[in-house]
Amino acid sequence: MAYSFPEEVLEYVFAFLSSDKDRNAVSLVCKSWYEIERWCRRRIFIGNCYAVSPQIVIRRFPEVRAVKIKGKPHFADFNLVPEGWGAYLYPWISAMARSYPWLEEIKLKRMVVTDESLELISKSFKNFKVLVLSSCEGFTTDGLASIAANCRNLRELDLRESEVEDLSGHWLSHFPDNFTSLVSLNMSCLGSEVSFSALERLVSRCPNLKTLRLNRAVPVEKLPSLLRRAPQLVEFGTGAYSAEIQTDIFSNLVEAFSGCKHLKSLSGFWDVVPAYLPAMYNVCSRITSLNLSYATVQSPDLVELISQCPNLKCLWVLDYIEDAGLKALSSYCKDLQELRVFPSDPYGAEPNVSLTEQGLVTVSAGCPKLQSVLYFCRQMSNAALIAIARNRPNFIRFRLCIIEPQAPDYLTLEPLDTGFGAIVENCKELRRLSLSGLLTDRVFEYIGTHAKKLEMLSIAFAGDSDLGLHHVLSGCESLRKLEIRDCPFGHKALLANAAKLETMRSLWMSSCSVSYGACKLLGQKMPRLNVEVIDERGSPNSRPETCPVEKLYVYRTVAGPRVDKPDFVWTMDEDAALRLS
Amino acid sequence: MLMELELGLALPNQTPVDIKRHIKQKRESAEAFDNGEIENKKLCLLLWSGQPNEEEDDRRGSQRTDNKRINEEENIIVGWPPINSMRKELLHHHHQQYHGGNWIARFPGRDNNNGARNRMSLLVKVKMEGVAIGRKIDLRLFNSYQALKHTLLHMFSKYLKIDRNGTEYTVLYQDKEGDWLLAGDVPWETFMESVQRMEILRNDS
Repeated sequence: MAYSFPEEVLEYVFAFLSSDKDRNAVSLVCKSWYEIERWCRRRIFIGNCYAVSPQIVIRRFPEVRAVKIKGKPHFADFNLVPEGWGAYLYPWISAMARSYPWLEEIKLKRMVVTDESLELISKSFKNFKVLVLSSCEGFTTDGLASIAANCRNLRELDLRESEVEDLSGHWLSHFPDNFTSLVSLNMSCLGSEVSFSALERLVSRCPNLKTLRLNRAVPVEKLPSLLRRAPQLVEFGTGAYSAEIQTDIFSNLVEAFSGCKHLKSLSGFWDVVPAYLPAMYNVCSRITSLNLSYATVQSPDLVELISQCPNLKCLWVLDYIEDAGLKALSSYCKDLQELRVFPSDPYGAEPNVSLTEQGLVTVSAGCPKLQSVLYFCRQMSNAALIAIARNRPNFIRFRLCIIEPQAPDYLTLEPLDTGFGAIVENCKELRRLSLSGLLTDRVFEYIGTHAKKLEMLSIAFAGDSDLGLHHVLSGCESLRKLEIRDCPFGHKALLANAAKLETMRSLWMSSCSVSYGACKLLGQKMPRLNVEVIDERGSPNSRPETCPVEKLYVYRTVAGPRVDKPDFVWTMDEDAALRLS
Repeated sequence: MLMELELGLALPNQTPVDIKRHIKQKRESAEAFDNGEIENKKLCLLLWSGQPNEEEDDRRGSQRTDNKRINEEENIIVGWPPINSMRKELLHHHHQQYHGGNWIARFPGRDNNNGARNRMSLLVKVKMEGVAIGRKIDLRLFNSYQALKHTLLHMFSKYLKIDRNGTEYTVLYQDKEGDWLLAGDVPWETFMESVQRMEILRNDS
């Protein structure tokens, strides 16, 4: 009985709801709850910037303090989305600058951010606190200078993996002398050297600094000076971890690290000289997260370090660790939850390290809490996958990349259908899956039958026919994101399951066999989807309708076809959609 | 396994009665849509026998194992393996330093020259005279020289001012034997079977 509680009470209760799902559910109860909820929602997550427009968001939620927006599809990370496709931040900032003067947080992923946007952010939001730019691009260090200079209450500046045009390191010196609020700084993706004395002074005057991730340009001999000024650090990323071996550098490092009693996470480690790794041993017992994925160090040195970290929960490492190192990992690190093994020589003709499927089998057997895996390797077998699945039914993320496309089970030369089938059958909580190797439609039958909690699926060079895609679209009830490249899928499964696409965030298909005609049809039939044909060969109208499109990106939207398309993107049946609106 | 599906474009919770009504409404537009690819003109009712796509025909099966020359620049599949540019840059840097700078972005086990490792595409490198960077193009997406030439000129028009008639350009291709031939002389299918890479020259050079 909604009328028995005054609005203020309901608002107070709703304030405890942090999950978007809960808030969305609450807003559907009745009109007055919808109204109360929308006025008190402070955090917004927009999983696809084109699914909605800034105007629609602002109209519904007038008092937002934190936004998180994602732009380009995931495959943009691998150069599959042509430059200039979209995901521009500026329209969002321009609208929010007018309507959300109290905005505090902006977190972005795969968006195009310009210096102009950054400057507008820095001048529009007086209480701005958090800027996270994950895999973004389009800005220079000048934009960072605006943020540093103008955001007096800034707490977090995190540039993780963004592509920044690095004009100079001077931006850091723009933080005013009375600026002391910094809690987190991640500049690891930048190339230029910043003024070290400016960095030292910044670190000294920010007592709440918990995260400091330096870039490669900061040499190892300068680290002690920073660590001594910030013994409260919880997360630290080194620069290039190499220098000529000098005992005083080493002893300074040991001493500096020892002073950091709260360090839990380490990263960086470019150009590692193994002799300097032991300098960290004093802190290793508390370390829960270690990112060694840039450390080109051999297995024995890695093992020595890892053996000091019994509380390790998350490890990112290059395949230099080899099967032997993974065996050691599985015996020392019983708390391990996440493992990512990246390839050191992905384009080499022959394997350069002794890392095989065995390493993953061993870790899955020895680490009972392991739930998230990303593993690059050169050979796999159904037997290994079945063993892994049986060892670890608690996987929630399983991403396997066998480097050679369509590589079969190396023992039996059969497809890897049964292996991946075992994964989905045993791991009932699986939310994310990436497939590789030789796979037929059968694997998709297994996935459609068993992977009921699967939210994201990545497929490459797999399957035989539309039946495969049909299994996935009709069976995977929780599917939100599907990305497919180089598979023999045409239009049949897509058109037959068109309604499913409205229940998902997005579908990406590139180098498949979906004809232009089918795309047009899909666009006509499903007005609440944007069916984008991305084709750099020129207008699809200049080719027969049976001609497959290069790339297809389909996503649900309430904003209609977008207005910022480049000349190689066509939204199907835009005219009809406009007529209806 | 023969699977017969009657599939309709419908919302997930519709009853069968609703679906039939839904389909009847759609039939009018279905007839107006003349597209050879959707063989059954009742667009929403797709009787499907579970056979592999008709699009997959024999010509895709042809293997190209006889040409063992490995040209490093051609053996790349875009975006594979899936590692992001930061990591790629790191590896490149590492290989430059420690492997004599001869980092070959080459695909493991590749023994053919045309870069197409999967059945779906035939990627060949195309160079245009006067343009420093070559482009890769998937020939499976074409079925005539006309369309191919038109597209190639469109692609390169970003780099050079090109007379769109294309009368001033000659398209050449290198075949399996290593010989450079004029594109257009042999039937399209023959061309597709032997093309390794292509080049576009200005006629006045």
